[in-house]
Amino acid sequence: MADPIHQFKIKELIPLEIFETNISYTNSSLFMSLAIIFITLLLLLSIKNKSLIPSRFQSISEIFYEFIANMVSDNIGDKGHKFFPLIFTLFTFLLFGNMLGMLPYSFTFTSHIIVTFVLAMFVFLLVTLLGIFIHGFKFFGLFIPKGVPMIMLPLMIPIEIISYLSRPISLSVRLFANMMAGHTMLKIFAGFIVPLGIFGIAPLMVDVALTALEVLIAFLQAYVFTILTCLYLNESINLH
Amino acid sequence: MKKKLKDFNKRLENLKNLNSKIKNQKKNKNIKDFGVYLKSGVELVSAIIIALVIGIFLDNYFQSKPIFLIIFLILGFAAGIMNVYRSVKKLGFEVGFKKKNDKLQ
Repeated sequence: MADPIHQFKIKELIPLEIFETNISYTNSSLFMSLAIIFITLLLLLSIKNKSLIPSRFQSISEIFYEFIANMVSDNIGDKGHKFFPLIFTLFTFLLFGNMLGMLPYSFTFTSHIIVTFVLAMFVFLLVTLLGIFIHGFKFFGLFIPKGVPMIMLPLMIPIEIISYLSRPISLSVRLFANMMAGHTMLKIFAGFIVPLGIFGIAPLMVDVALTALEVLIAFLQAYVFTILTCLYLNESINLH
Repeated sequence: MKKKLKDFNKRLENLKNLNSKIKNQKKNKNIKDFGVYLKSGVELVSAIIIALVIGIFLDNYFQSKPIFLIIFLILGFAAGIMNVYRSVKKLGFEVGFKKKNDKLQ
Protein backbone atom coordinates (compact mmCIF):
# COMPACT_ATOMS: atom_id res chain seq x y z
CA MET A 1 0.00 0.00 0.00
CA ALA A 2 2.78 2.41 0.87
CA ASP A 3 4.76 1.73 -2.28
CA PRO A 4 5.82 5.23 -3.41
CA ILE A 5 6.49 4.23 -7.02
CA HIS A 6 3.12 2.57 -7.54
CA GLN A 7 1.44 5.86 -8.37
CA PHE A 8 3.46 6.19 -11.59
CA LYS A 9 2.28 2.88 -13.00
CA ILE A 10 0.79 3.01 -16.48
CA LYS A 11 -2.51 1.14 -16.69
CA GLU A 12 -4.09 0.18 -19.96
CA LEU A 13 -7.68 1.33 -19.84
CA ILE A 14 -8.62 0.39 -23.41
CA PRO A 15 -6.14 -2.18 -24.78
CA LEU A 16 -5.42 -1.55 -28.44
CA GLU A 17 -2.80 -2.97 -30.76
CA ILE A 18 -2.14 -2.04 -34.38
CA PHE A 19 0.67 -3.65 -36.43
CA GLU A 20 2.18 -5.17 -33.28
CA THR A 21 2.47 -1.71 -31.74
CA ASN A 22 0.78 -1.14 -28.44
CA ILE A 23 -1.26 2.06 -28.72
CA SER A 24 -3.61 1.42 -25.81
CA TYR A 25 -5.53 4.22 -24.21
CA THR A 26 -3.78 4.40 -20.83
CA ASN A 27 -4.37 6.40 -17.67
CA SER A 28 -1.63 8.72 -18.92
CA SER A 29 -3.59 9.38 -22.11
CA LEU A 30 -6.75 9.82 -20.05
CA PHE A 31 -5.19 12.61 -18.01
CA MET A 32 -3.74 14.25 -21.13
CA SER A 33 -7.24 14.24 -22.63
CA LEU A 34 -8.64 15.59 -19.36
CA ALA A 35 -6.09 18.41 -19.37
CA ILE A 36 -7.07 19.36 -22.92
CA ILE A 37 -10.79 19.10 -22.12
CA PHE A 38 -10.39 21.32 -19.06
CA ILE A 39 -8.39 23.92 -20.98
CA THR A 40 -10.94 23.97 -23.79
CA LEU A 41 -13.83 24.22 -21.36
CA LEU A 42 -12.16 27.04 -19.46
CA LEU A 43 -11.50 29.02 -22.59
CA LEU A 44 -14.93 28.33 -24.11
CA LEU A 45 -16.74 29.26 -20.92
CA SER A 46 -14.74 32.46 -20.67
CA ILE A 47 -15.73 33.74 -24.11
CA LYS A 48 -19.36 32.74 -23.77
CA ASN A 49 -20.45 36.03 -22.22
CA LYS A 50 -17.90 38.54 -23.34
CA SER A 51 -18.08 41.73 -21.33
CA LEU A 52 -15.95 44.73 -20.57
CA ILE A 53 -16.07 43.90 -16.90
CA PRO A 54 -14.86 40.32 -16.96
CA SER A 55 -16.61 37.47 -15.21
CA ARG A 56 -14.57 35.04 -13.12
CA PHE A 57 -13.77 32.69 -15.96
CA GLN A 58 -13.05 35.53 -18.31
CA SER A 59 -10.54 37.06 -15.90
CA ILE A 60 -8.77 33.72 -15.55
CA SER A 61 -8.27 33.37 -19.27
CA GLU A 62 -7.37 37.04 -19.58
CA ILE A 63 -4.66 36.51 -16.97
CA PHE A 64 -3.40 33.49 -18.90
CA TYR A 65 -3.41 35.43 -22.14
CA GLU A 66 -1.60 38.44 -20.72
CA PHE A 67 0.95 36.30 -18.93
CA ILE A 68 1.91 34.41 -22.07
CA ALA A 69 1.67 37.47 -24.35
CA ASN A 70 4.06 39.36 -22.07
CA MET A 71 6.40 36.40 -21.92
CA VAL A 72 6.48 36.12 -25.70
CA SER A 73 6.97 39.82 -26.39
CA ASP A 74 9.57 40.22 -23.63
CA ASN A 75 11.65 37.27 -24.70
CA ILE A 76 11.24 36.99 -28.45
CA GLY A 77 10.11 40.43 -29.58
CA ASP A 78 7.82 41.42 -32.42
CA LYS A 79 8.66 38.44 -34.57
CA GLY A 80 7.50 36.12 -31.82
CA HIS A 81 3.78 36.78 -32.14
CA LYS A 82 3.50 33.97 -34.67
CA PHE A 83 4.52 31.56 -31.96
CA PHE A 84 2.02 32.73 -29.39
CA PRO A 85 -0.40 29.80 -29.99
CA LEU A 86 2.43 27.29 -29.61
CA ILE A 87 3.71 28.81 -26.36
CA PHE A 88 0.20 29.19 -24.98
CA THR A 89 -0.66 25.56 -25.74
CA LEU A 90 2.59 24.31 -24.27
CA PHE A 91 2.20 26.30 -21.06
CA THR A 92 -1.45 25.47 -20.42
CA PHE A 93 -0.94 21.80 -21.25
CA LEU A 94 1.99 21.48 -18.84
CA LEU A 95 0.34 23.58 -16.16
CA PHE A 96 -2.90 21.59 -16.25
CA GLY A 97 -0.95 18.33 -16.35
CA ASN A 98 1.07 19.29 -13.30
CA MET A 99 -1.92 20.67 -11.42
CA LEU A 100 -4.21 17.72 -12.22
CA GLY A 101 -1.47 15.53 -10.83
CA MET A 102 -1.83 17.32 -7.49
CA LEU A 103 -5.37 15.99 -7.02
CA PRO A 104 -5.69 12.79 -4.98
CA TYR A 105 -6.07 9.55 -7.01
CA SER A 106 -4.98 11.33 -10.16
CA PHE A 107 -2.07 10.58 -12.43
CA THR A 108 0.71 13.03 -13.35
CA PHE A 109 1.64 12.48 -16.97
CA THR A 110 4.57 14.90 -16.70
CA SER A 111 6.23 12.49 -14.25
CA HIS A 112 7.11 10.18 -17.15
CA ILE A 113 10.29 11.10 -18.96
CA ILE A 114 8.99 9.93 -22.33
CA VAL A 115 6.23 12.57 -22.24
CA THR A 116 8.52 15.44 -21.31
CA PHE A 117 11.25 14.22 -23.65
CA VAL A 118 8.91 14.18 -26.64
CA LEU A 119 7.81 17.73 -25.83
CA ALA A 120 11.42 18.86 -25.38
CA MET A 121 12.54 17.11 -28.57
CA PHE A 122 9.70 18.76 -30.47
CA VAL A 123 10.83 22.17 -29.21
CA PHE A 124 14.46 21.37 -30.00
CA LEU A 125 13.75 20.23 -33.56
CA LEU A 126 11.46 23.19 -34.17
CA VAL A 127 14.10 25.63 -32.95
CA THR A 128 16.90 24.03 -34.96
CA LEU A 129 14.91 23.71 -38.20
CA LEU A 130 13.53 27.21 -37.81
CA GLY A 131 17.04 28.61 -37.34
CA ILE A 132 18.32 26.82 -40.44
CA PHE A 133 15.23 27.83 -42.42
CA ILE A 134 15.53 31.53 -41.51
CA HIS A 135 19.28 32.02 -41.45
CA GLY A 136 20.55 29.25 -43.68
CA PHE A 137 24.16 28.29 -43.21
CA LYS A 138 24.79 31.32 -41.01
CA PHE A 139 22.86 29.57 -38.22
CA PHE A 140 25.88 27.38 -37.54
CA GLY A 141 27.76 30.53 -36.56
CA LEU A 142 25.94 29.91 -33.29
CA PHE A 143 28.63 27.44 -32.36
CA ILE A 144 31.50 29.90 -32.72
CA PRO A 145 31.91 31.85 -29.48
CA LYS A 146 32.64 35.54 -29.65
CA GLY A 147 36.08 36.79 -28.69
CA VAL A 148 37.76 33.42 -28.62
CA PRO A 149 41.22 33.17 -30.23
CA MET A 150 41.41 31.09 -33.41
CA ILE A 151 43.68 28.52 -31.78
CA MET A 152 41.01 27.68 -29.20
CA LEU A 153 38.24 27.09 -31.74
CA PRO A 154 38.86 23.35 -32.29
CA LEU A 155 38.25 22.92 -28.56
CA MET A 156 35.43 25.40 -28.14
CA ILE A 157 33.24 24.29 -31.06
CA PRO A 158 32.74 20.70 -29.78
CA ILE A 159 31.97 22.10 -26.32
CA GLU A 160 29.38 24.45 -27.79
CA ILE A 161 27.85 21.66 -29.86
CA ILE A 162 27.58 19.38 -26.82
CA SER A 163 26.11 22.26 -24.86
CA TYR A 164 23.55 22.82 -27.61
CA LEU A 165 22.65 19.14 -27.89
CA SER A 166 22.20 18.86 -24.13
CA ARG A 167 19.22 21.24 -24.24
CA PRO A 168 16.43 18.72 -24.85
CA ILE A 169 17.87 16.50 -22.11
CA SER A 170 18.07 19.26 -19.54
CA LEU A 171 14.66 20.58 -20.55
CA SER A 172 12.94 17.21 -20.20
CA VAL A 173 14.84 15.87 -17.19
CA ARG A 174 14.19 19.04 -15.18
CA LEU A 175 10.43 18.78 -15.52
CA PHE A 176 10.23 15.01 -15.13
CA ALA A 177 12.60 14.83 -12.16
CA ASN A 178 10.87 17.62 -10.28
CA MET A 179 7.44 16.12 -10.71
CA MET A 180 8.48 12.58 -9.94
CA ALA A 181 10.66 13.49 -6.94
CA GLY A 182 7.93 15.64 -5.44
CA HIS A 183 5.22 13.02 -5.77
CA THR A 184 7.47 10.24 -4.45
CA MET A 185 8.39 12.37 -1.44
CA LEU A 186 4.73 13.13 -0.71
CA LYS A 187 3.90 9.45 -0.82
CA ILE A 188 6.83 8.44 1.40
CA PHE A 189 5.84 10.90 4.10
CA ALA A 190 2.21 9.87 3.73
CA GLY A 191 3.26 6.26 4.31
CA PHE A 192 4.55 7.19 7.79
CA ILE A 193 1.38 8.86 9.02
CA VAL A 194 -0.76 5.85 9.99
CA PRO A 195 1.97 3.48 11.33
CA LEU A 196 3.32 6.15 13.69
CA GLY A 197 -0.01 6.50 15.51
CA ILE A 198 -0.21 9.71 17.51
CA PHE A 199 3.25 10.78 16.36
CA GLY A 200 1.96 10.61 12.81
CA ILE A 201 1.08 14.27 13.24
CA ALA A 202 4.70 15.13 12.38
CA PRO A 203 4.78 13.54 8.89
CA LEU A 204 1.26 14.84 8.33
CA MET A 205 2.46 18.38 8.92
CA VAL A 206 5.40 17.78 6.59
CA ASP A 207 2.97 16.51 3.95
CA VAL A 208 0.76 19.57 4.25
CA ALA A 209 3.78 21.81 3.79
CA LEU A 210 5.08 19.69 0.91
CA THR A 211 1.72 19.87 -0.86
CA ALA A 212 1.98 23.65 -0.87
CA LEU A 213 5.53 23.42 -2.15
CA GLU A 214 4.44 20.98 -4.85
CA VAL A 215 1.77 23.37 -6.12
CA LEU A 216 4.47 26.03 -6.40
CA ILE A 217 6.80 23.59 -8.18
CA ALA A 218 4.03 22.49 -10.54
CA PHE A 219 3.53 26.08 -11.64
CA LEU A 220 7.22 26.94 -11.65
CA GLN A 221 8.26 23.98 -13.79
CA ALA A 222 5.58 24.68 -16.40
CA TYR A 223 6.79 28.28 -16.39
CA VAL A 224 10.47 27.32 -16.69
CA PHE A 225 9.75 24.94 -19.58
CA THR A 226 7.86 27.63 -21.49
CA ILE A 227 10.28 30.44 -20.78
CA LEU A 228 13.20 28.31 -21.94
CA THR A 229 11.26 27.49 -25.11
CA CYS A 230 10.83 31.25 -25.61
CA LEU A 231 14.56 31.85 -25.09
CA TYR A 232 15.53 29.11 -27.54
CA LEU A 233 13.06 30.45 -30.11
CA ASN A 234 14.46 33.93 -29.59
CA GLU A 235 17.94 32.68 -30.29
CA SER A 236 17.04 31.02 -33.57
CA ILE A 237 14.80 33.87 -34.75
CA ASN A 238 17.03 36.80 -33.80
CA LEU A 239 20.43 35.28 -34.36
CA HIS A 240 23.10 37.46 -32.74
CA MET B 1 30.99 70.07 18.37
CA LYS B 2 27.25 70.34 17.69
CA LYS B 3 27.88 70.76 14.02
CA LYS B 4 29.94 67.63 13.95
CA LEU B 5 27.23 65.71 15.79
CA LYS B 6 24.60 66.84 13.28
CA ASP B 7 26.86 65.85 10.45
CA PHE B 8 27.37 62.45 12.03
CA ASN B 9 23.63 61.92 12.43
CA LYS B 10 23.09 62.78 8.80
CA ARG B 11 25.73 60.36 7.66
CA LEU B 12 24.28 57.63 9.90
CA GLU B 13 20.83 58.21 8.42
CA ASN B 14 22.22 57.99 4.91
CA LEU B 15 24.02 54.78 5.64
CA LYS B 16 20.91 53.26 7.21
CA ASN B 17 18.87 54.12 4.14
CA LEU B 18 21.50 52.64 1.88
CA ASN B 19 21.59 49.47 3.94
CA SER B 20 17.83 48.92 3.77
CA LYS B 21 17.88 49.61 0.04
CA ILE B 22 20.54 46.97 -0.53
CA LYS B 23 18.61 44.51 1.62
CA ASN B 24 15.44 45.08 -0.40
CA GLN B 25 17.30 44.61 -3.65
CA LYS B 26 18.78 41.36 -2.40
CA LYS B 27 15.35 40.06 -1.38
CA ASN B 28 13.90 40.69 -4.82
CA LYS B 29 16.90 39.13 -6.48
CA ASN B 30 16.56 35.96 -4.41
CA ILE B 31 13.01 35.33 -5.61
CA LYS B 32 13.97 35.89 -9.23
CA ASP B 33 17.02 33.66 -8.93
CA PHE B 34 15.00 30.74 -7.61
CA GLY B 35 14.42 29.41 -11.10
CA VAL B 36 18.08 29.75 -12.00
CA TYR B 37 19.27 27.74 -9.03
CA LEU B 38 16.61 25.14 -9.67
CA LYS B 39 17.91 24.36 -13.11
CA SER B 40 21.69 24.58 -12.75
CA GLY B 41 22.07 21.01 -11.46
CA VAL B 42 20.38 19.49 -14.47
CA GLU B 43 22.43 21.63 -16.84
CA LEU B 44 25.64 20.02 -15.62
CA VAL B 45 24.37 16.46 -15.85
CA SER B 46 22.66 16.73 -19.23
CA ALA B 47 25.82 17.87 -21.03
CA ILE B 48 27.73 14.92 -19.56
CA ILE B 49 24.99 12.46 -20.63
CA ILE B 50 25.02 13.75 -24.20
CA ALA B 51 28.83 13.61 -24.35
CA LEU B 52 28.73 10.05 -23.00
CA VAL B 53 26.24 8.98 -25.68
CA ILE B 54 28.27 10.58 -28.48
CA GLY B 55 31.48 9.00 -27.16
CA ILE B 56 30.03 5.50 -26.95
CA PHE B 57 28.45 5.84 -30.40
CA LEU B 58 31.71 6.97 -32.04
CA ASP B 59 33.65 4.20 -30.29
CA ASN B 60 31.26 1.59 -31.62
CA TYR B 61 31.48 3.08 -35.09
CA PHE B 62 35.29 3.29 -35.31
CA GLN B 63 36.02 0.24 -33.13
CA SER B 64 38.32 2.33 -30.92
CA LYS B 65 36.99 1.43 -27.53
CA PRO B 66 37.99 3.95 -24.90
CA ILE B 67 39.48 6.86 -26.88
CA PHE B 68 36.40 8.80 -28.02
CA LEU B 69 34.60 8.10 -24.77
CA ILE B 70 37.43 9.70 -22.78
CA ILE B 71 37.73 12.69 -25.12
CA PHE B 72 34.01 13.36 -25.15
CA LEU B 73 33.61 12.92 -21.42
CA ILE B 74 36.19 15.64 -20.82
CA LEU B 75 34.46 17.86 -23.38
CA GLY B 76 31.13 17.04 -21.71
CA PHE B 77 32.37 18.17 -18.31
CA ALA B 78 33.61 21.39 -19.89
CA ALA B 79 30.26 21.94 -21.62
CA GLY B 80 28.39 21.23 -18.39
CA ILE B 81 30.45 23.73 -16.41
CA MET B 82 29.91 26.21 -19.24
CA ASN B 83 26.13 25.68 -19.04
CA VAL B 84 26.09 26.26 -15.29
CA TYR B 85 28.35 29.30 -15.57
CA ARG B 86 26.08 30.78 -18.21
CA SER B 87 22.88 30.21 -16.28
CA VAL B 88 24.34 31.61 -13.06
CA LYS B 89 25.93 34.62 -14.77
CA LYS B 90 22.62 35.24 -16.61
CA LEU B 91 24.32 35.18 -19.98
CA GLY B 92 21.20 33.58 -21.34
CA PHE B 93 21.86 31.02 -24.00
CA GLU B 94 24.38 32.86 -26.06
CA VAL B 95 27.45 30.93 -26.99
CA GLY B 96 30.70 31.74 -25.22
CA PHE B 97 31.28 33.15 -21.80
CA LYS B 98 30.96 36.88 -22.30
CA LYS B 99 28.05 39.15 -23.05
CA LYS B 100 27.68 40.27 -26.64
CA ASN B 101 28.89 43.81 -26.02
CA ASP B 102 31.65 43.00 -23.56
CA LYS B 103 35.13 43.39 -24.94
CA LEU B 104 37.64 40.69 -24.24
CA GLN B 105 40.19 42.02 -21.79
